[in-house]
Amino acid sequence: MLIEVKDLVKEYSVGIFNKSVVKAVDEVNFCVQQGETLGLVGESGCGKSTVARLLLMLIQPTSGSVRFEGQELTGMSQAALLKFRREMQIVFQQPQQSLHPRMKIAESLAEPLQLYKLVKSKAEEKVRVRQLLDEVGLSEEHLERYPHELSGGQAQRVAIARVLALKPKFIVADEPTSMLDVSVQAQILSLIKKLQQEHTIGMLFISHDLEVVQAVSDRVAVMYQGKLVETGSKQQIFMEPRHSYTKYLTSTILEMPTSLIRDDLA
Amino acid sequence: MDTTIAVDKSYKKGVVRFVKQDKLLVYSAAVVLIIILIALMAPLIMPHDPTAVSLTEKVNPPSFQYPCGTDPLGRCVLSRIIQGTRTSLVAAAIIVAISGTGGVLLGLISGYKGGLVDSLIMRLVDVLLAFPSIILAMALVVSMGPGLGSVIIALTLVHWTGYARLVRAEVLTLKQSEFVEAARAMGNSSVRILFKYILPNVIAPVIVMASLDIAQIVLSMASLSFLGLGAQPPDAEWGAMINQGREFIRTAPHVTLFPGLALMVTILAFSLLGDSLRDYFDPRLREGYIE
Amino acid sequence: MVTMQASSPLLSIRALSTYFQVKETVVKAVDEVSLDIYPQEVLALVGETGCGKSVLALSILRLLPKNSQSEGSIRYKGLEILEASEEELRKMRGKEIGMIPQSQATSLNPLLKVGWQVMEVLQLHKKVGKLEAQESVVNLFSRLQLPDPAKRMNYYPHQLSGGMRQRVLVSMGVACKPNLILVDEPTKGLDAVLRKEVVNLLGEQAAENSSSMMLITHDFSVAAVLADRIAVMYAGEIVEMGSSSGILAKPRHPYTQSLIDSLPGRGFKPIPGFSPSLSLLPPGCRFQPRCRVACPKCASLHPEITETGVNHYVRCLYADRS
Repeated sequence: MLIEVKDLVKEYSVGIFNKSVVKAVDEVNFCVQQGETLGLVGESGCGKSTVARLLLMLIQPTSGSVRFEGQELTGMSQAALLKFRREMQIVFQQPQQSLHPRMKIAESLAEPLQLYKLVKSKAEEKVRVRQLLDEVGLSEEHLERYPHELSGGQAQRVAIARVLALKPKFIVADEPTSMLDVSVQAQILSLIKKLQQEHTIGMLFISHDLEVVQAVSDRVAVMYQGKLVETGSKQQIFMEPRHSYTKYLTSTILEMPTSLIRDDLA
Repeated sequence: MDTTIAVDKSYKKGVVRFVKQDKLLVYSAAVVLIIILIALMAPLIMPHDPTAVSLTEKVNPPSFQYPCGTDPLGRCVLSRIIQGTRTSLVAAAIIVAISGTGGVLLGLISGYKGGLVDSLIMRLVDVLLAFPSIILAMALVVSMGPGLGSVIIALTLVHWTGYARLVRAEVLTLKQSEFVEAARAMGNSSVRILFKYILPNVIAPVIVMASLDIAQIVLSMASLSFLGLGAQPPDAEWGAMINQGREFIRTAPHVTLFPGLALMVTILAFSLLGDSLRDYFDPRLREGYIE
Repeated sequence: MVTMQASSPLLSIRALSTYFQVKETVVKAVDEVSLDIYPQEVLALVGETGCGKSVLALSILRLLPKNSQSEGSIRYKGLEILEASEEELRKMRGKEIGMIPQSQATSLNPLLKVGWQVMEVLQLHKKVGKLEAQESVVNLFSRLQLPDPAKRMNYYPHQLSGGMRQRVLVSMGVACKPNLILVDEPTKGLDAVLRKEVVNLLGEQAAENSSSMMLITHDFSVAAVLADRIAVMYAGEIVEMGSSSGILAKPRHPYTQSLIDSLPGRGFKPIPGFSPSLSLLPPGCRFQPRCRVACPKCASLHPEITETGVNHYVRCLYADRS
């Protein structure tokens, strides 16, 4: 098992005078196998981004366990975690903001290679950076640019290339396309799918959009107010949803008036 | 349709363009540069020895020989102002360099580490800020004994708090930003994140603050010297000079007027430079187009 | 162009070009756009980020920054907007042409009560007393189904949910019953639940009011639900325009086809390549480098927009091939 999450809880205390505890993540259980995509769907504020950060130990859980290839990650020191960082990566929601604003794309891409000493020389580094660019469909002209000089879709490609540089076994994609145009969304998702298959990467794909989750996932978990309310295969969730919240979510898909469906598809 | 839209030729790239728009930045920077040059070349451009006493030429009005007149001991006021520029700027530079670096480092640690370290540093800042800074500096100088060295130490101890607060606040926002989170997920160490990811993004406001701070430090030093706590005779210092001319303010106003003017111009130049740098660093004011 | 409907258009744009001066170059963000909006119709302007659709909307309200310039003609009820005085524009904005801005999270003043912000819009354009304005706002809120409208008036923006803030913004846009409402990217960055809510809300508004609506969006599925007619924009130009049913049932322009095919529910097929930068346009047809049916002629000839069917316009050399 690649990732195993058991009874994961994250509490926050709110208020200054009347302290009360809010459970952002409430006893969440799931697992992700090698090369598999688990879709995590829910509306904004349901706690799905907190789950992403807990998995990568960017924040500490209140209780529960996260195992990566059988190794318990909770309670591990930051230094010990560094060993696992390379194999578990994350793609964020806001592509332009997930890159250092004052670092050129070339530097951003070279950084992971230098951090883990994955290349032996400057020349090798150059070759590897080109290779990464090529894999995500960018060209050399983008190397000398800064993040704000790229479009959202291009910046997200850079973020993906940077993650890919580390050859991770597991990726969390935290709403990677929700800030992008619908047309660019298709580009990025097909890229993620392609790379995932080529490199056999396990993925937790987080999104608010059922249609998107349906397109990329093997299994789907539905989250509502910090709890997983339903988990199942894609067919199960979309064809025969059991929980009322899942049913409600499926009703929010924008359906085009049937009279307008293209002739050749109708 | 035939369309010819003339390119505005005065529209230049980056810095040059902004400089054209913001005349204040250019003028204040020019004045600051002149002040720095005067400080650097002080011995070369002084018409007289600033410490040469001449009992025959006490409190002379401005003349060809003494463009700003002479002081109660017959010393050339202009030469002493030039010498004072050096004293003030060198001292201010030392104070800003030490308190700035220290404040930035403490702010970085405080903001990034949080917890007990943060509380300790910030409570210390609160305590220091609870006193009016000039009173606190005076107390420190008195306890160490008057002199320029004491003033530098005292003002350094008082001024780092501003940088620490500023940097801490910036770090708290930057720490939450996605690119820092991404850097953490990538496996960067805390030290690397602090210096490579966070520091470059807080430097701009620190520079602005330093410029404004120099103005304030020059004034504080002059105030302390005016009270006899700073530079000791026969060293030339603006505040001390104003103090010496105090008795003659009715009969020989030039003795206080010229050092006062020098003080005012210096403070104004550094303050305005700070203000226009703030505008310059604000990208919202720099770029003029929309998405 | 030919008149489309029996009535005369409310807003008529002819050969509108809007330029921006960015550093030393001039960029044409809107390139000779011509379109009409008729009374009570919803026109959707569909295109990707950076294609010039928001600039077009701001050109209509003359709300562009100083380094820009528009030419051509925008006529609203006989008034030439491009030549109107500041005073005429002020009277027109909000009252005749309203705008619902893009982001519900940042478009409200966080320090003022929402009711007050809507009242202000009313009082700017109508001579109404405070009580009367208050009453209208309560009415507006209840019509937009904000629960407990009288109480909600005294809320600050952060006390409302995203959906409620969106309702407040809509209420500001429609407060003076404008004849034309410009809606800029109403669903950008919203989650699916909220998107559905906003689309329903706008649909109700369009049906209830007798006003026209220009809906700017990157999402074809939003346009499909709401619009009577759709105009597709690419790299500053309109590449296809026609009735919603016509465009969705039989898109003529390869870009429109690709855009529809990239929808999650319609195959999710990505369009290869990137939208061109407006300062570096490809030769010939602007979509040609990404087009699946392009041929050598496309790279040398820039196609004009032509009428291919009843009220259906396409900018493609092979528009009649299908």
